[in-house]
This record gives sequence, C-alpha cells and structure tokens, in this order.
Amino acid sequence: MTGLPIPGPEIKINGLWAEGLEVYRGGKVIVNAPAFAVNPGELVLLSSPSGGGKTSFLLALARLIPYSGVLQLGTVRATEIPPSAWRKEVLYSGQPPQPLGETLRAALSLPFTLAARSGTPQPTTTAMESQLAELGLDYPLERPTSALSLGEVGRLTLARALLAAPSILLLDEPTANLDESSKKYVTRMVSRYIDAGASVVVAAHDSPWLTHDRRYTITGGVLEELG
Amino acid sequence: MNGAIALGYADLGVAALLLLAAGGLSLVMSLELEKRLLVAGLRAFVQLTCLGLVLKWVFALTNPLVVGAFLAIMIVVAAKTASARVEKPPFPVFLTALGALAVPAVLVTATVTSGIIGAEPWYDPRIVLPIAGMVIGNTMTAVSVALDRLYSELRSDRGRIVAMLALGGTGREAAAQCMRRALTSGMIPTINSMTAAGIVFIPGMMTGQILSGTNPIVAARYQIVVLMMVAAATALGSVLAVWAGYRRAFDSEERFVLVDDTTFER
Repeated sequence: MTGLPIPGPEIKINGLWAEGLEVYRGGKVIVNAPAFAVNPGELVLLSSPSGGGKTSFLLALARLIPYSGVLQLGTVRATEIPPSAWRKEVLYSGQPPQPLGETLRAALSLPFTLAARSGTPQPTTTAMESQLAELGLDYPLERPTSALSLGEVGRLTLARALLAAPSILLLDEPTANLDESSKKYVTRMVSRYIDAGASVVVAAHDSPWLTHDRRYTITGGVLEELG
Repeated sequence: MNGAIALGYADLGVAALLLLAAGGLSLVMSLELEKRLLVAGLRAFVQLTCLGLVLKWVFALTNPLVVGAFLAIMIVVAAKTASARVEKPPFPVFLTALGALAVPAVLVTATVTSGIIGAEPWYDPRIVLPIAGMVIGNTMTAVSVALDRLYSELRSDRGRIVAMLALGGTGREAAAQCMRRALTSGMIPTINSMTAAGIVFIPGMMTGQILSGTNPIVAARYQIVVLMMVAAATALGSVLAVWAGYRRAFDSEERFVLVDDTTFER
C-alpha cells in the first residue's frame, strides 16, 4: 500500500533450469520433465488436473523427493551443493501451511535460526510487521499462531518465505483457502517480489495469476510448456 | 551377610495359593484372566527356577568367558524384546536397539562393578550379572519407549518436518523436536522411580538385600548406586537409540523418508 520497497534481506538473482528431469514417488517415475526453465524476474505458472503431479514436481525442484536428470541454479549444478544450501535458495512453500512457531515472530524468524542461514541477520521487527501488514495480517508479532485461521497461516508462511529471500520461490497453491481480497494481497506481494529480480513458480489450478510470463502443464505425467 | 531364610517347596505352595486367589477373583468377576494368570505363574516358576540353577552353575565356574557369554545373551534377548515393542517401525530396529543396549550395558556395568563395588576378580559373576541385569532391563524399556515414541512423533510430524527441510533445515534441525520428546519419554520412568524411591516403595534390590539380612544402611547405599547407574544407562541408551533412529528417517540427500502418499496431498 505504501509502495515503498520491502525492508528485508537482499535477493540474489539466479535462474533455475531442469533438463530430462524424472521425478520419483515410491520408486516409480510420476513426472517426466524434458525441459523446464524459470528466468530471473519471471513468474511461471504450473497447472495440471488435481493429483497430476504439480506438488511432486515442485518438491523435486527443491530436492525434497528423489529425481534424476539435470537441475541447475544459475551456474551451480544441484549435485555441487548440499541440500540445505540448495533449499535455502530454491524454497518450497506448500500446503497445508505449517506455522512452525508459537507466535508470529517465532514463525517468521524460524528460517534464520537454521544453520543454513548462520550469519544472515534476523529480519527487523519493522520488516516483519510491514511484511505481515502487506499481506493483510495486521497483528502484533506476539500473537499466537494458534489463533490464526488456515488462510491466515497460509499468508504467514508466504510472509516467511518472502523474508527468507530465496532466488527461486516455489509456491504450491498459495491462494488456497483465501477469499478474493486476500488473494489480491498475495498476488500483489508475489508480483513485487518478482520485480525485485527473483523467480516464482506457482502451482495452481484456479488462476488469479493473469500476468505470468510462462505457463507449463503436466498431462499424463509429462511436463509441457504452453505457447 | 548372615544369610536369607531359606524357602522350601511348602512355602512356594503357599505363594501359589495367592496366585490361585487372584485366579479365583478373575473367575468371580469374569475377567477371563485365569488362564493367562496360570500360564504366567507357571512361566515365572519355571523361568526363575532355571535362572537360579544356571546362576548357581555360573557362580561356581567363575569363568570370564561364561560371564561374557551370559551377558551377550542377555543383551541380544533384550534387544529383541525392545525392538518387538516398537510399534510399526518403519525399518527393522533390532540393530539400533542392540547398539543402544550394548554400549551402556558394558560401560555402566563396568563402572559400577569395577569402579564402585570393586569386584574381585573383576568378572565375579555374583556381582557382574545382577548389576548388568538391572542395567540391561531398565535400558531395554527406555530404548523401546524412546524408539516407539520417536517414530510415532516423526510420523505425526511429517508435515512440519518437510516444511522445516523446505526452509533449508537439516534433518537434525527438522527432527529436533521429535527427538526431544522421544528422549524425555525414554527417561521419565527412571526419573519417576528415583523421585518415588523410598517414599512410595522400597526398591526391589533393597528389599532383596534387607530380606537376606543386610544392614538397611548398606542396602540403601547399594540402592542409591543402582538408581544412579540406571539413570546413566537409560540416558545413554535413549540418546544412542534416538540418534541412530532419527538418522535412518533421512537419506543421504537429507530427504525425509517416512513420507507417504498423504503427506503432500490435500
């Protein structure tokens, strides 16, 4: 609303590429992605029928489930860096949202308590408050997360992901359980994050995401780019 | 020691009457436990009589190899029992339980028998076997409770754990809360029994020593040593079990392997 840049950690600018990616679940290939790319400053939309493998594909990009093939962040191959360092830059935020903290402050500062971010300073109170306010969560930071609705927890986890400032943000159904006005908060904050140079991949079947740069779909287990 | 009052078969018969009374109660109240009571009572009679005979033989031999073999059997059987008590383990946990039992069994038993009691010779079965038995028995319970709790916590916390990994957490960071809960539940029985010892009950070993004619002050000191050693052994056993147990829940790529099809679906 203020239009001022969001105070927070700086985003490093990288793209994400995948080639000949096969995603495994229970030992079987469930998604086959011959080619996938998201460039800095791009919003990529990923759609598929429910249960079509969107979540699995995003999890594989974050190296959270087994895959084979080439996965590369900027000039760095996935095989060259440890999983936690990769996931810090290729951050998956999924459903159902997990608060992971008893208060809003604890939930938002959690990523900065992890070894992967040792040396990265905690976001300031002002940064946390403004991030929440921009997402329509005008609550004191000491509010218990148990007092939030599911939709509010979803926006809290988005605020946390944005404050953690990954190069690539993978959002799984970020507008699930949200009413129309809350969806607007989410799309606006995501657009602003892309304008800062980061990349965002959104998996969704209903789409308030009109201004995407590219669109992929998974049909019959195969990922394709739509023209 | 001026010795215990010996019990004859007649005395055991009177004890059996007590068991029959319990069985009668079960009949009257139709609990349908009579058969199980009878079987359990017979098993206890046979097992303990055999143990008495075997111990008599082992004490007479006082051979380090025989003592070692006896200890090894105790540890293996305890590991089997502990792993069988873990409900729906995601992987076989026998080896985990074996390691978590063997280390405290050897370290803590040796500390007490050689360091505190000063057994002479160091492998004197009359001292080593009862002490090791208490260490192993208590550690067995702690290890099985800790592992059982660990896997049930990891399973119910799947969503949280994957979310922590996704934020850049290591497996250890993601599982820390589950590990803490598992360790606590492994240790709580020991802490409770230390707290209640001497107020709510006279601990088993102290009872035995008093019955066999030991000065109660000496018996109390032995019991204190035993409680401390049990605390050390259960703590060490729980830590080892939880540490080994959590590592298997994550693969070399730091992925949580206890996920199932419902973890990410809505």
